[in-house]
Amino acid sequence: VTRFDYEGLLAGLPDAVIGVDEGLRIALWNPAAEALLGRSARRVVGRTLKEVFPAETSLARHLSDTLTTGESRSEAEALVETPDGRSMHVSIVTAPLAGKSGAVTAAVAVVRDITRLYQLEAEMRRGETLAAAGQIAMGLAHEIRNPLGAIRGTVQLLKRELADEARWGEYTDVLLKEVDRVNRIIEMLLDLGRPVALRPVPLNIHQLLERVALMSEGTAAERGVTILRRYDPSMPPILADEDRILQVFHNLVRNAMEAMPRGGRLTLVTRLSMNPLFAKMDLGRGLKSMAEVQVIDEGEGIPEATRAKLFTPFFTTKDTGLGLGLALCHRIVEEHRGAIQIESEPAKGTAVSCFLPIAR
Amino acid sequence: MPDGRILIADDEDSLRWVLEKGFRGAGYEVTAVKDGNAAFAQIETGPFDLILLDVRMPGMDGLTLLKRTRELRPDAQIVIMTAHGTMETAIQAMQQGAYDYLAKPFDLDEALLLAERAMTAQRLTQEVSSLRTGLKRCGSSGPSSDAIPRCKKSTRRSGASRPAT
Repeated sequence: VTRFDYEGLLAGLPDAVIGVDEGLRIALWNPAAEALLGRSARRVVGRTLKEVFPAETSLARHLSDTLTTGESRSEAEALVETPDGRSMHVSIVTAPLAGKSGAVTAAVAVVRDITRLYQLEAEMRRGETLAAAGQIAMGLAHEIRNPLGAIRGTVQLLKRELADEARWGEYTDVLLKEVDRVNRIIEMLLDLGRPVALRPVPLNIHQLLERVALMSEGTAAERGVTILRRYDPSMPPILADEDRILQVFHNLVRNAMEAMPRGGRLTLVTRLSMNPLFAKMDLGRGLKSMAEVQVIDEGEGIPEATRAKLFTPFFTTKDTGLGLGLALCHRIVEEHRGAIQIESEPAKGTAVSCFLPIAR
Repeated sequence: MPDGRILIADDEDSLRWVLEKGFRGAGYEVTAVKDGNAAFAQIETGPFDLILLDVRMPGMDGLTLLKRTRELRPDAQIVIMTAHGTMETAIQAMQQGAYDYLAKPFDLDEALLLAERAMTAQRLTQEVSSLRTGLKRCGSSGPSSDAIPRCKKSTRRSGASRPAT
């Protein structure tokens, strides 16, 4: 029987495998562990686990528990921190290794990168939440618009009755204005729930972005924002509904400008997506290449806690605005079978990436 | 002052009240009912120049009522009122022969203007059809030279009997 090459097997595994001895000293650190955890085997083998990871991390705790109890531990969703400070979503499974005497002498952990899965799930959950909000809006609209119609009509009748007394005109005007405002809010909410009949056509994304840039020129100048372009000249046309996609980028550019009250650079980037999640997507007729369009600002960035709520309807960090802009962008991009992602670094800025299908 | 008979069917009491008051104030003769069946009973008994129907009503919904009214009173102008979020119902109503639609919450002046336009359109249609009937009658009387000027006169008279506003 050929001797199995266990070293080779461990080296070839896509999952990180970490082995520790009784004293929690690292004895095994395969290449996937190097890639996933950002530390080379040379630098960690021989060191104790707590020298490499803080004691409270899930990985250190599970390995330590397994050594003490001789039992396996598993966690479907844990976080590990890389040396550059990034948090990664992983799954962890630990197992004890017994010596000849039967006593536990070592423990091994298998760590799997679930960041992509986590991102996809988050994207899906977000879509479902928005669809549910949209459905509620559709139901509510009917119930609200009827009384709103009666209020509006009554105010108009009242205005006529009071036509001779000009001072009451102000009162009725305020009432009418506010009724119309409530209706506009409902209209925006309805946009989330309404089935959209898209008319996708091959579009030159650069021409479309230039239209957005042109429309934003005035505001950009007022705020001291410079618009930069980093376009991929070989970008093929995308397949999109012109009006709806224009609405998305108009919204994103406006957000980016509002994020830089003291001015800065707003960069528009286009390229063929190399993102592992959104480079090629199955849109029902086989795999399609995706274009990545980014809107990058140099604002304050978005704190991690806020980032999770960005697509929630009515969540806003602005003094004015309804908090429906990004939710609507998500809805439109999703209708195009694309995706939208936000990356942000405090004090450095935010990059919003839209992945949209290429027309070919 | 406009004249004409209007039927309003909406189960929303307040909205019905507003429309009734608004149209009456503008000089129309108004009948207002709160469900589809009552609306149909009214349509069966008396002619209306304009019928405003809410889409969602107890008894018979607006679209069914629209269909049945078109069969019974092809001349009546029908306007559908909707509070729904989508345009689907409105489009469906127009395809089934509604004159127009009003999306709630609508402007009362807009509703009055729409009523005026609908009635003008109805009068023009009636005028054209009476002219056509007159001309047909002339055609059937044969091509005698003295019959044509007489027909012209009579069709002109019948056209002028209901002046367009």
